[in-house]
This record gives sequence, structure tokens and C-alpha cells, in this order.
Amino acid sequence: MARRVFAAMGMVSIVGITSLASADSPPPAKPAPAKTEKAASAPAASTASTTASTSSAPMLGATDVYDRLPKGKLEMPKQANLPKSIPATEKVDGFYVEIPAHYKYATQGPTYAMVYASQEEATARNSGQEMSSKPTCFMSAYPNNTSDVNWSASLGTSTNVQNYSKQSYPGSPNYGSVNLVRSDRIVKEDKDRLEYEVKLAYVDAETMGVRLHSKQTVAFQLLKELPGRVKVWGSKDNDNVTFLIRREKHEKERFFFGPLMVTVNGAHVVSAQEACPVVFSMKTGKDVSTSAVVQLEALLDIVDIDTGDDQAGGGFLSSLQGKVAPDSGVFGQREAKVRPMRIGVSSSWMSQDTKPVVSVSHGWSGKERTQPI
Amino acid sequence: MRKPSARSVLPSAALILATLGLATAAGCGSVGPSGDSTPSKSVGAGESGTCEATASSLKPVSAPGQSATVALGAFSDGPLAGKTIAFVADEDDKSLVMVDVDTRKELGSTKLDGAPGQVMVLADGRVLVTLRDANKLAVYHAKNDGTLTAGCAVDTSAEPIALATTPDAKTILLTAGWGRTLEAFDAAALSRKAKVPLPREPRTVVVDDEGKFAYVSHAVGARVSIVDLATMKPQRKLDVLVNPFEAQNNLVEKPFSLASSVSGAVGDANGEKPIPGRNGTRMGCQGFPMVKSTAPKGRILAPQILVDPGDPENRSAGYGEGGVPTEVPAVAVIDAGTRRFVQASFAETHEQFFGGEGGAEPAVGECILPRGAAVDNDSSTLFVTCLGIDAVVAYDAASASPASVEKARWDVGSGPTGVAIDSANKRAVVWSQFERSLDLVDLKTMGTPDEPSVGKHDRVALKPMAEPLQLSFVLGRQIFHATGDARISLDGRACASCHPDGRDDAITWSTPEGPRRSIMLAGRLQGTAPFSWNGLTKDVREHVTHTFERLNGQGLRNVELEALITYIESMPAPPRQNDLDVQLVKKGESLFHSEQAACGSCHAGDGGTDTKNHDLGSRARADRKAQFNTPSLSYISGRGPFFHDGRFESLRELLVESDGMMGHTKHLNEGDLDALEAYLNTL
Repeated sequence: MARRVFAAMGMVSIVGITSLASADSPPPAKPAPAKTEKAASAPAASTASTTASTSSAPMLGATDVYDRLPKGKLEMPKQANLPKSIPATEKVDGFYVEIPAHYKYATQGPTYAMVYASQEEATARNSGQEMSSKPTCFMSAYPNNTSDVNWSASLGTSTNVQNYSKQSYPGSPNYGSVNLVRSDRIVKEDKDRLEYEVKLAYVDAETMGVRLHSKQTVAFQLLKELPGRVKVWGSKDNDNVTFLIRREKHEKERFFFGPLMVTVNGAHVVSAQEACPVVFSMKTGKDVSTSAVVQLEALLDIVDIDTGDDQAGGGFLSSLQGKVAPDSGVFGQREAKVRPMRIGVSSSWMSQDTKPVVSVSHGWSGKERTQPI
Repeated sequence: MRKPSARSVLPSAALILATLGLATAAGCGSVGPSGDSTPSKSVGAGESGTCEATASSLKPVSAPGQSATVALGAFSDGPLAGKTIAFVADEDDKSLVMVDVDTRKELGSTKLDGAPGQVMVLADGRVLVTLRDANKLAVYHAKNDGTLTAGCAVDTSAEPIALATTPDAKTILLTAGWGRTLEAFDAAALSRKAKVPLPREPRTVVVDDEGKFAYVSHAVGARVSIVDLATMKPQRKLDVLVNPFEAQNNLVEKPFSLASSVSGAVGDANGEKPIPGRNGTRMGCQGFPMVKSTAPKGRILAPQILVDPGDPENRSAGYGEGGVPTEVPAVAVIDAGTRRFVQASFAETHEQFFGGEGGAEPAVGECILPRGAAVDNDSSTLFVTCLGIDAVVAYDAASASPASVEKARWDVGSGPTGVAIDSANKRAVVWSQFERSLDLVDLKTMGTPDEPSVGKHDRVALKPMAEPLQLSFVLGRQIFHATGDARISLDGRACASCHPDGRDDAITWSTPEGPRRSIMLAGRLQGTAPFSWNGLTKDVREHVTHTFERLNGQGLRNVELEALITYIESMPAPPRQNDLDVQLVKKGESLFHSEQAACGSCHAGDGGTDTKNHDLGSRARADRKAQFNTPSLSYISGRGPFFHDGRFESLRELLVESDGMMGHTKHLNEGDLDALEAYLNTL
């Protein structure tokens, strides 16, 4: 197949994500009211309270997928009302802000700060330690109070928040130092059910203070398990179906490689790095049909290479490098078997359908190959 | 070339009669082309057979209600009870072959009176076969010992291809490719009930679940026809014209929603029609297969390709020189309720439109010559057989955009033209005409995490033909359909891409010489040199070599080129129409050669060519030259749109609008024009 993987195209956008509305099917006649927890009124988190069936995931051709989806809604604010500043004393659990180390030696003050899940996570990331299989993931928005929130559209285990007041590029607008940041994490995962939390917070890159905007959780149903430990999950509300797709970590995998990238009409819409999922919604109204493609490199296997005497103690290389214990794993060579994969997700409600037809399919878009990791 | 063989494998007396053509028609009425009742003129194998069903325990297994080059059935009694039997329409051997799919054993072969198009097993046990070059629909009665008895054969319009039944099983629908019709037959007696004129090259017919509308695919012309079965009139035609830029713009306007990001991507006949090749607009082509999904129901799936022919207003450096892939596979989804395309169905091919980060890629390994299709409703999977890559490709039949992801593909024998699904045994049966083999594709692991990277399957080769095809013909046919072959083209297209079934794609391409319509090849090359619209090449060899250069192909070795020319020069021409109005044709012939019309002065003889170039004042803006070589008019009835730049949609439009450019037609009344057109249709 000649299909190109990871075609870099077009504009970047973000999908609508909102709060848990209610649980379970069948859907109510009217949209359930959003229950986003506003920080000011309800600081405590509410976890997803779903009662949907935990029947096994449909694997092929199920036309009743929609009914199996738990009901819930994630919602993003359309506009941000950014505070001018956040006191350094204000903190939110799960948001650790630090100035990158290299600014210690810079003559100019820091122009951005990094956000991690915790200080430990920051240390781990900065020292190249093994990654968590279910990390907290972040995405930041461009600070603009006057137009729709414009998200960076890529989830990763850290994000940077710009301090525009310190930036001195000619003509650059001074948006201040406060940014809106989104934090995603899997709260709980069972065999076929997953509970997902999204926090929104204002982060001040100057003071490193953090203020909670909202906290939402929603339940997802496993729709399909694909080769390479890729799982496709789904959720629904009255107007949308939301997909969550992630690649689980291989037991021998130290660092995730390769992003997940969602395209619609061939244009990049949203992506995820490392072990983070892509999460995106599609409209589900009558006569509405739409589809998207997720592209990734599926990690099929990791194998230890039999390096013989070179690594185990003998041979020319080891004589130069010194002997390494065979089971140390530190210098052991490994190869990953990977294959480019396309996942198609679709929601279509045509005239003879009584409900949206939600489908998930996958296929290979290139040959399997082996690469050292 | 091989002559038709009289070989008959099955020791059935009826079959021997049928093979030797000793039967005579009985009780097998049909109606004429206008719909009035006329006696059937059955000949050959079906003359003594009956049209009506006889006692048989045969039931269809695959795609009940739709024909293919391979159909599956099963007997409920007898020695073959419970086994899946494949009925294969073997075009090369002109035979109907029965294969026990479970034991992989060829049960027998029944010689036919023509090259079969497709075969269908009816619920009453009859086996229907279209005889493509004999203009017949033949009936066979299957016995539970694996033998076939010839039934009747009824006349059809020229080149019957595909069949379908209505849900009530009372009507058989038939497409006639060269005859450009959809015909309805009473299912019991096979008497013709109606005939509906259609645009060029109809291929597959599908009936919706309610039996209200028939959908007809077209191999060329970027359309799907919809026929109202109550009135037997064309209800609508859907034009496959896609503009990816519009879709992208719509996406930009609604950046916060994935939904509704595609609108206006597909035009239809009710709106303003975009021009193919201009502003990135692509048109459908190779619309051979079509199939209906029943889970989810109400979806008609039409595999085809989307072509960017380049802007006809501008000259290109070569064919397909637009910096974007020339041809991309697509599956149009039609909502059977609204009878319109689902706009999102082409959405995810846009990535291919723009060619990804490196620009255009050749269509290596892509399914750009789709020929057969079937749906496995259990897994909501669409299977498409693809010439060129010799593979069967699986798509998500429940997706709004099935072609966005290939679920799987399997290499099969050369020339796969049909596929049937054996749902009970989770397998697909693929017929490959060039290789004369059946591939049995195991579907059990498809779509699961344990799915193998390469699909596994068994292959059943049919017994060799008594008179094998000429080797150069076989090789030439292979080369003609080769896609992704750098010897032929840089963009991956095959000869068959522009010349499906050896005819033309109805497309006007942007070329270095200006806008150029593809030329029909089958049956048209003899005595029509020089070739090309400007008469630039003196013979077929020179013209083929020149075409490869324009396609940026590396060229063929001499033996391959000779084989290709052998195939091109011997590919079967379309069958002639049987039902001619002789008087009208005679009148038309007289007008054709009249001094005023003067058609015959350049189109020498019976619509041939004077081999000279003429300036008719037809030079288009992008044309380098004003003079064009007189084209032969042979088979002109099925070659529109007309002129070098496709400016005339129909023959009638050409006759009326070109007055003074060639001869004169202004003086002709409607009756005269009817006569002239009737004569042209015989050429």
C-alpha cells in the first residue's frame, strides 16, 4: 500500500470536550444538562457515575455500538476569561509548574514555564527515566480572551505555558503570563470500561500559580482492541459520540515512540504524544455522517537481540567497552517490530437508521519493519 | 486466438444438447425493445429449455438478488447437500463452471453460447447467466448431483452484463453495457417487461430493500443512475464530482467540530456541476461494482476511483502531470432513503488527493481498477476485487467513508473480477479470470488483534482449457491491466485506467497537445491509422510507445510491447445491437452520404476515415494545433462525449451543434436526425 503515514497537513484544531452529563443508555429525549464542576462552587472532584452494561466489546460489524456507549459529555469553554495574574500560593493538584533549568544560565528572564503532573514526573522527564504507562497528559491553549479558545491540539506528558510579558519579539502581542491548560488522565480502567478525567486550570508562567477552572470525568466503553495494544473507547451524549484511542505500553517498552494523529479530510486535527490518548468528538444528528482517521505506528513486539559475545562478555566490542552483565538490560539491544496503522472511526445516521451507526475499523498502511530501540 | 471449444465435462444429456446447440425455445416469451410483446428469438443452448423453475433444492448462498462473476449456492438434498457450490462465469472458456468449495473440487463445466458476463443463483434454484457477446440471458437448471440442464435463453439489448432481482422475486433486472439500458424481465417466464435507456456503460444493478428503486453503476461517466421501478423511468442520476478544496475550506470554517466538516463535496445533477480537472475537481470512473449493505441497511456502496484529469483549459507536460495523485480509490456511499451520496463518503481520500507531505505518489498498490464487490453483513465488511494489483481489499461497510481505511487485503489470482461471501463459513470466494482460479479467503481472524499481517487463503485452479488462449494475448492482457508499473506510467495508472474494457473513460485529459478525449480501442484499430487526434503516429506500435512517453513510463521490452499490441488489436469489440429499425437505418445511411450532410466525404466508406487532418474550427484554447485527424466513426454510439475535447455530450448534440463545421445538418428535421443517428449507431 502506498498510503503515506503521518502526512503533515493543514490547520490544527481541537475537539470539543465537556463534562459528564449523566450515565447510560438509552439516551434521554432531551440533552442532559452539563455537570461541569466549577472550581468556585465545587472544588471536590466527582468521578464518573456510570451504570451502563459492562458487556464485552463488539469486535466486528456491530450496528448496536451506539447503544453500548455510556452516556457522558466532556465540554470545553468556548472562551477563556484569563486572570491577569495568579498568586504563587495558589496550586492545583496535578499541575506542577517549573522554569526550565537552562534559564538559570540565561541573561534574559524565562519566557515560558513547563507544566508536569508532579515534581517527580518533571524530574523523571528531564532525566530520561522510564515513562508511566498511564501518564497525566497536558495541552495548552493560546491566550486570547476575545476569540474562541485555540488549543495546541496535542496531548503530551508536559506542556509549556508562555510568558508573553517577557517576550520581546517585534510586534508580538502582550497576552500576559496566564494560560489555560488542560490536564487529562485515566482515573480507572477495567476490562472494558474506562474513567477519564479532564481538568482545566489557569497557569501563570510568571508566578507559577495555578487556579482550577473545572474538573470533569466521563466513562468510556471499550469498542475495539486492535493489534499493538491499541484500544478504541467510546462515549456519547445526545449530540456527539466521543472517541478515546490510546496505545498501551509494551512490557519491554521504556519510551513511547511515535504519535497518534487524527485527520479529517486529510487535515491534521488533533494528536497525542507518548502514552497519551487522542480524544475527539463527532456530531451524531440525523442525516449527519462524518469520519476521521487515526494514524500511528503500531508496536507489535519488542525483542531482545541475541548479541552474542559482544554484549555478554566477549568479543571485540566488549573488550573495548568493558563487560556488562547479560541480564542488566542497561546496554542490551532491543528491536521493535512496528507497522503503520490506520484506524477509521465513523458516525453516520442515515435515513434508514434508527440511531447513529458508530463504526471502528483498522488496517495497515505500510509494511511491518524492525527498528532498533 | 482460440476458437470456442465444444468441450463438455458434464455427462448430462441435456447438457450435451445444450452444448451442441440442438435445443429449441419453448414457452419463453419476451417483449421487444419498445416494451410490446414479441416472440422470443432464442437460439443455441437455450432453444428447447424452459424458462420456468423446475424442482431443485439449490438455494443462493451469497448475495441473494445480485449477480457476479462468481455466485454461491447450496443444495439441501442429494450428494452435494450442505456443500457450498461456486458457479463461475468463465469468460475465457465461455463456460459456466461448478466448483465444490468445501472439497476444492471442480464438478464440471458447461459450455455456453457466448462469453458469460455474470451469474446469479435464484431462490427457486434456477441459475441465470448473461451472455455478454451473444446478447442473451440464459437459464440453467441445477440438479443436486452437480449437473446443469439448459433452460431457455432470451434476447437482451447489446452486451448483457449484470442481474438483480426485486425483493418480491417477481422481476429480474438486467444491465446491457453497450446497449445502454436497464431491462426488466418477468422472473417466472423471463418475458421482457420494460427497457429503460441509460447513459454509457452501465454495469452493476442493485435494488433497494423496498424494491422501489434500482441503482445502476457506470464504468465511465462519473455517475450512478437511479431508476424508479414503479414507472421504469430514470428517477435521478448522481454525478461523482468531488472538490477536495471545498471540503478543506469547510473544515477551516468550523475548526471546533469534527462534524459537518465536509459539505458540498459531491455535486449532483440538481446543482451546478463543477468541471473535472478544474480547481482540483475530480470525477468518478471505473464504477464497475456496486453492492448493497443490509447491516447497516439502506446503504448502497459504489467502489470506484476519483480522477484528476488536469485542467482542460491548460496544457500539461504529460498525462497526470498535476503534482497530485491522478487516481485514488474511493467508495461512494448512497443513502437509499434520500437517494443521494453521503457527502462524507469521499472525505478521507482527501489526504490522497493532496498527496501527503511529499506531494504526489504513484498509485502503487492501490485499488484503481475495481471490478467486483460483495458485502459480508455479519462483519459489515465490503470486499472489492481489484485488477492490476490482483488483490481483494476489505473496507468498513458501516463507515461513512469506507475507503479511508483498508481493513485487510489478500493477494489472489491474476485478474480478479468477482467475489462472493460465504457468511456461514466465514470465507470469501474470489474468481480471477486471467488466472482462471478461485481463491478461498478465510475471514475468521480479520479485524481481531490476532489478525495475521498477511491474509491466508487457498487457491483452486480450474482445469486447463481445451484450447488455451494465445500466450501473447494472455501476456498482453496482463500488461494492459498492470497498475503501479513504472514501465507504463509514472503515476501508476494502467492502460485499462483510460481504456476500461478496452473502451474509453469518457474523460477529457489535459495533455501537452491540449484537451484530449481518450479513444476507444476495442475493435476500432483496424484501418484507422494514423493515430492520435492530430494524426501524429503512423501505427499502433508507434502510438503506444508515444503514449508511454507521455505517461512518463519507462517503456516495455519488445516482446512485451508485441504482446500488448496483440491484445489491443484482438480485444473483443462490443456486440452489435440486434433490434435495428432497418428502414430508419437505411434512411440514415442515405443522409450520411448525401451531398448536403457530406459526412461520408471525410468519414469514408461506412464511417471510416480519409486519414487526413482537417481544420474544422474546433481548436480549443489550449490546443497547439488547429487540424485534427478524421476519426473513424466505428462504434461511435458508445463513445461520447464527442470531439477531441469532449465538447458535445451526445451524438444528437453533435449533429445539431456542429452544423457547418463538417457537413451540414441544419436542414435536417427531427425524423432525419433520428435516422442519421440510427445509422451512426450501426457503425
